[in-house]
Amino acid sequence: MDCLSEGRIQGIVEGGLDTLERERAREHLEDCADCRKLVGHAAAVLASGEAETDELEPLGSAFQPLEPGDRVGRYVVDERLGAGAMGVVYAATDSLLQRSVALKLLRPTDGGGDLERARLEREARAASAVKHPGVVAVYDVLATEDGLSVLVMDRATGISLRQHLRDSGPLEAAEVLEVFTQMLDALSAAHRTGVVHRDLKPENVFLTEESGAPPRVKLLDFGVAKLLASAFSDSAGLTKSGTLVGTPYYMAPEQAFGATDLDQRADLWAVGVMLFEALVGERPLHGENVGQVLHQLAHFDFSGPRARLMQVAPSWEPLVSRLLVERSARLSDAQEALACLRGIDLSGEASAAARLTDAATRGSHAASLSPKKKAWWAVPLVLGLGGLLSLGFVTRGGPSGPAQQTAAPAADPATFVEGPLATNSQFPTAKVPPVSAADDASIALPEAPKRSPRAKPTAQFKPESPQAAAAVSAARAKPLDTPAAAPTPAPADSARKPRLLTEPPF
Amino acid sequence: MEEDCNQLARTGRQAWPDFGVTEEAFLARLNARDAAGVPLPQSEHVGDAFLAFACELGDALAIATFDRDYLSRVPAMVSRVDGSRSLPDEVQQILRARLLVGDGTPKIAGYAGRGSLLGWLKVAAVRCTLELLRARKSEHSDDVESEAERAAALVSRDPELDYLREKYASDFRMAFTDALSDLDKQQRTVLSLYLADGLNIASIGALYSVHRATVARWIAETREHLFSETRRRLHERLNISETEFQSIVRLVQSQLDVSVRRLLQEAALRDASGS
Repeated sequence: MDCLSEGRIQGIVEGGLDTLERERAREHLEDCADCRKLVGHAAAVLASGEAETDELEPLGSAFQPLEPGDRVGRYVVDERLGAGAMGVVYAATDSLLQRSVALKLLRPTDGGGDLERARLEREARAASAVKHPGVVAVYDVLATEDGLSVLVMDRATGISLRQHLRDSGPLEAAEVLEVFTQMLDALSAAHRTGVVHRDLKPENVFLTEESGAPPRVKLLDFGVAKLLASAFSDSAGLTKSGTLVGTPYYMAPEQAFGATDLDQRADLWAVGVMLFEALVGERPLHGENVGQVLHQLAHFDFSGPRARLMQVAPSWEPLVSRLLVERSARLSDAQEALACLRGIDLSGEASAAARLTDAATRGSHAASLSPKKKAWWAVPLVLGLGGLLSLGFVTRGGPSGPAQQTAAPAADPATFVEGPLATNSQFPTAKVPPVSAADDASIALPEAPKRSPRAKPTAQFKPESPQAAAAVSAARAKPLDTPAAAPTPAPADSARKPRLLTEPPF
Repeated sequence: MEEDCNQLARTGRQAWPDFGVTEEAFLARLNARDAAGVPLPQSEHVGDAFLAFACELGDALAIATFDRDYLSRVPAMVSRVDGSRSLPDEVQQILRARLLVGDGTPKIAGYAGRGSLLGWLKVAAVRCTLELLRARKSEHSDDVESEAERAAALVSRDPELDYLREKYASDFRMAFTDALSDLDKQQRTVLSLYLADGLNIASIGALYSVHRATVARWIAETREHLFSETRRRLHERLNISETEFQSIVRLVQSQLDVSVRRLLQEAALRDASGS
């Protein structure tokens, strides 16, 4: 019998052989001492990771901001949209296909060389292979002359789940069902292609409303977390200096503590945290700083969060408790979670609103539980306008360091690019009557979500409206530091924010 | 499946737009493999698969890339298997010839993109290193034997045990060899992979589609079986006092792993020279 091929040996050590291949490999190993020895040594060398490469050079290129008109490959920069932990995001136009895209320039990492970067880029490209309407498409991965990696991504219109939670507080059960069904469906597609997100959080869950299309949940930044994490370190989330890449609030315990064999269950933990947050209005883990969050993760006990959940959304407890649990007891994949989700009987949630109100008066989230709470697709007016003003792109833009990560949800700086929506107190959202339960029920039908007629955009606010477009382009044409008559005070760090943020929409 | 191939070909080409190999050529290769029932590359490794394909076709830029980003790392990989200074360069030379030229078909064609190209190269480097080491060993002394002896000497620091070991060495060996031959093939293989070849229980578990705790239990059971069988056979063989026998039992216990390793390696050498 022929000896095992390199690919087979690699498969034995790294996994990935199918049942028949494993059986044949076992039979061969029983008789072949050479291959047994090879497997043993190969396992040791493969486990050694990249540590044996001492020829990696530092990147050594400082980050040079791009200006409108600059070209990155065939993409012409229109303007800067924002910056975050990972890098800077620009709106750009694909000169070949004449379509709008978002360019995400990843910051130079502190330990990679050309070789490492090439590997990371290939990983990002791989992640871009996830094709699903619920996953924001990554069209391309490039490198600038400075040696920075650039992700070329779809530019969608809408807001992030973070923004929505901030605006609306806990979501109605029907909306939670819709959002999380779509989310798990998209996750399942990604997991099937072997891609784990590793940094799922409300900032990366994008609620879109394209004109004429049904509302959609889109997941951002697939594979990018891995790219970032491995650029910074060998472990899942810790940088060389011991700080976390990404926020720890949504990180599965095994990920936070550096497991190297992360799988799709890490994403399911994050789904559990977001589900809890969407239902209860606060995260299951509290902490003033990363250390406290990690401490809670290390001693995670679901009984406290469970009690809070049982008060407001008891029907969801069986699902959430199977997501927020140590890895071996967690639901094993998104499909399983989806099946549980679909099995939830929402009739028990009839008085959810009342319970939520009770919860609101008890907790510190009363302010966020204002009567304006409504499904995201019921407010196309805000979405359309916000999407237009922000040029439609929402970046991950997670907090860049532990200090920022400790920010309370209400002051979370993560979604800077959503700025125009952050100022939506100027917009007449309060005038939109609360969507009734009946509206919600009909909206919740996955196939044809029905808009509340009252929430239809007026011509003035319609994204497609020429007036609005003109107003926006006029606003855009102003110099960056025009002392605009902004009705809202400019944020302290406005210099780092997209220009439009500090300017009045009209 | 056709759509999969198209997508993979596109992604592969996008990963290396500068190579002089077309998306169509890569697509033809993927389709041919697919038709032959060969699994397609994993989507995250399709860029690697394209690079390997371009190297196979002799694309100069691809080969330069492979040289620079991959083959240059071979010496570091080899040094993890063998500490000597000469071997790493030798392995790099041999691998370069094998993978990029080969006898007819460059061996890099064997990379199917199911794991990373770097990982695949590591396995190839380790295989090449072990082959060279084997060739050298057959020329020189029996390193395996002396290694086992050294290990045994480290385990036993008790003069009494040393005395017993010497005195009953041949009996012990026979009893132990018989006990070892009692094991079924799977028990022997698992024990060998674990003790002689150094594969960890997680990998063994994956190979046998069982949880690593199961592998740990198998190994513990096999050890226990070996121990009790050796002890029983020795007891039958030797007519000695209970005290002395208990000392031997302690000896057996302390030397079990070393003995297993040594005997399995000897068996492997016999197999190799016989084949």
